[in-house]
Amino acid sequence: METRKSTAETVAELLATTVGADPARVRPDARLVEYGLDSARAVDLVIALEEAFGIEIPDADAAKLKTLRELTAYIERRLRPPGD
Amino acid sequence: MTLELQFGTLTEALYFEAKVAGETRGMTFVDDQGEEELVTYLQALEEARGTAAAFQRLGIRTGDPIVFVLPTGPDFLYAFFGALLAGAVPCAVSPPGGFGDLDEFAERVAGVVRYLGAPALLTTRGLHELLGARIEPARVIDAGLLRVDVAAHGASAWRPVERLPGDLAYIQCTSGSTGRPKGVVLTHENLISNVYQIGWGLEYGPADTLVTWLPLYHDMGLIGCLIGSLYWNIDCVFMSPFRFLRRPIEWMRTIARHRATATVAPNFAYRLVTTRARDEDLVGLDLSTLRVALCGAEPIDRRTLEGFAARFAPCGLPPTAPAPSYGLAEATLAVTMQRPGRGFVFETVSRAALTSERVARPVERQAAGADAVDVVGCGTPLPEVRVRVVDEEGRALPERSVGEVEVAGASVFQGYYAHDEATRAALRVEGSGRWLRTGDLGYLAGGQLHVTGRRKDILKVRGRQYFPSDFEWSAEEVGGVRKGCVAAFGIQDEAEGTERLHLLCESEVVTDEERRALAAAIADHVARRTGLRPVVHLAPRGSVPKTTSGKLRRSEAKARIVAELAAAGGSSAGASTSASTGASGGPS
Repeated sequence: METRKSTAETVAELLATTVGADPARVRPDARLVEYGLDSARAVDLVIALEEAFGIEIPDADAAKLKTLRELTAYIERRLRPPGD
Repeated sequence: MTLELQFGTLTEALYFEAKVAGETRGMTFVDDQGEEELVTYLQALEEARGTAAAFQRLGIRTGDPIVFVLPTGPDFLYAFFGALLAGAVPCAVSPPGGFGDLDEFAERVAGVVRYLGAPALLTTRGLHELLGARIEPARVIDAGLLRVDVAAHGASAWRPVERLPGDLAYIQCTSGSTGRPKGVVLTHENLISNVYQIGWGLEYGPADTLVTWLPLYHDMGLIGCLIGSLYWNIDCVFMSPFRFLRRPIEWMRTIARHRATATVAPNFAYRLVTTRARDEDLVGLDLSTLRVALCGAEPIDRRTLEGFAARFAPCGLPPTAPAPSYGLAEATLAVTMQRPGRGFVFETVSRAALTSERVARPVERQAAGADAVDVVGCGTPLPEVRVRVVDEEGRALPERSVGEVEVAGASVFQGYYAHDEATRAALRVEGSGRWLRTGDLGYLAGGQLHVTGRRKDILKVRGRQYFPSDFEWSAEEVGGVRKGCVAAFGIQDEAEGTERLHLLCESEVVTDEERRALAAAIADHVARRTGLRPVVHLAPRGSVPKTTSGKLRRSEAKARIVAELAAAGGSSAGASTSASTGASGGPS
């Protein structure tokens, strides 16, 4: 079972790995573009997230996510069983 | 050689091709999941006529600019030709990619709409709402609803519009994030001339198939691939750019599946597919049909082309396939190209002579050591395109002299949209001729154009000029530096009274100790190779700013480092290496 905390932690870790940052210094409200996630590089993070959570993230969805907090909330929503 | 253009306008070309080969040939679109959809030229014509009628119902008039924010796919194709059939002038802007700040994107699009005074913008349902509020009073058209409208009404209401070769056909807007946009204005004649020249250069014939992942909202995809394939009546396969970025090897697989004879991409893509290909990816991959792999749009590194040729040689890739080219939006697209089947050429010249004497003097690599630099030949001018190299006063220079590249011919643009001053600065009028000042530096030798750098990116250290790509490529040779992720630029050093070489390099190293060691190794290596010792700034993945097509944004990288140095309260004068802490851990 994914707990709320572990989802957030996993996402933060994957972001940190993708951009080569220290996970402890990744802040939930910093804008993702500030980490240098341009369109080509964002693909790396999307692939990592899809593999880690077994979901597919359409580009149109990714384009709406501005911060780590929003990204985490989005993934939690996607992981919730339908009708929940 | 005289151009024998078959058509005066793009719409004539569409009509002719639809009638000649319309039911068998066309465009295949490969989406993110790998699903393929063939649109024959006949279908394209029918859909485009219906779209033109819909645009006319919406009040679009002859000469109106229409901004497109659409992904690569059939809808883009129909809208593009539909706009032309309605006499309108399309201008494509790239949709948002990756994670992003949609507000910034919307601002950029709104800026383009205002700049062009466009009465309408066509986009996807997803972006419709976001953009709608920003661009009033212009109308936002939902591409999905437009298709429904076309299906319901057909093409019967379309009123044909007369367009002449000299009429506007397309505006290519620069995607700069700051400042006023700049639109390159192209006529039907510009586009038809250049795609004729490109196909002639590539020796296109009825048996050819082109595969590309270039998006339709970039000129190489739209003009080089879509319009070029239509004009030459060959099959063209467009795979989703995101599919390529996610799995670069799919580019090669698509080539193999379609028995493609030609492909085209920038330097970075050849490097990416080469480094990402695993040995098992090569099993059963047949690239023997690929007679030309055109490379353009950014500086070409000899090692990239050699590496690509070597990596895929076991798959039957002809060693002569890689073909460098040179071009720019202001000359529609392509200017020079290496002819297919010849293989690419490069020469080793003296770095010092290139920059201080402004002459390309061949040297023997071993003997010259750090002074040796390889320059790839970008091929010979396309038919009826004239290329010359001039000095700062505009006087033509002899072979092997380095100066600014100038281009003349039917593909040279009309000017920048509503930017008269920039237009005057870009064109040198001489008698009856117009020469396009490209801003690129290079020299001619043996008929080949050699491009050595951008006039404005050039570094000046103690009166000597240097090309940034030299330093970047040297730094990349150091283990631990990310390939293609180094930006070189000069920053004025008060203490020394001259520019100092700075390198912003991406790396994966984490600890301070590792960072110091890597920065020192880079500085040593670059100094050995080039004779200049850089100030090295290490930064995490994703820190070096690039355009969406992967071109380095050196001036943006420079601005960032200048700001960081100022914030740190001092200059790094005297320090030969600095593992710049400001860029070490992302925003903090």
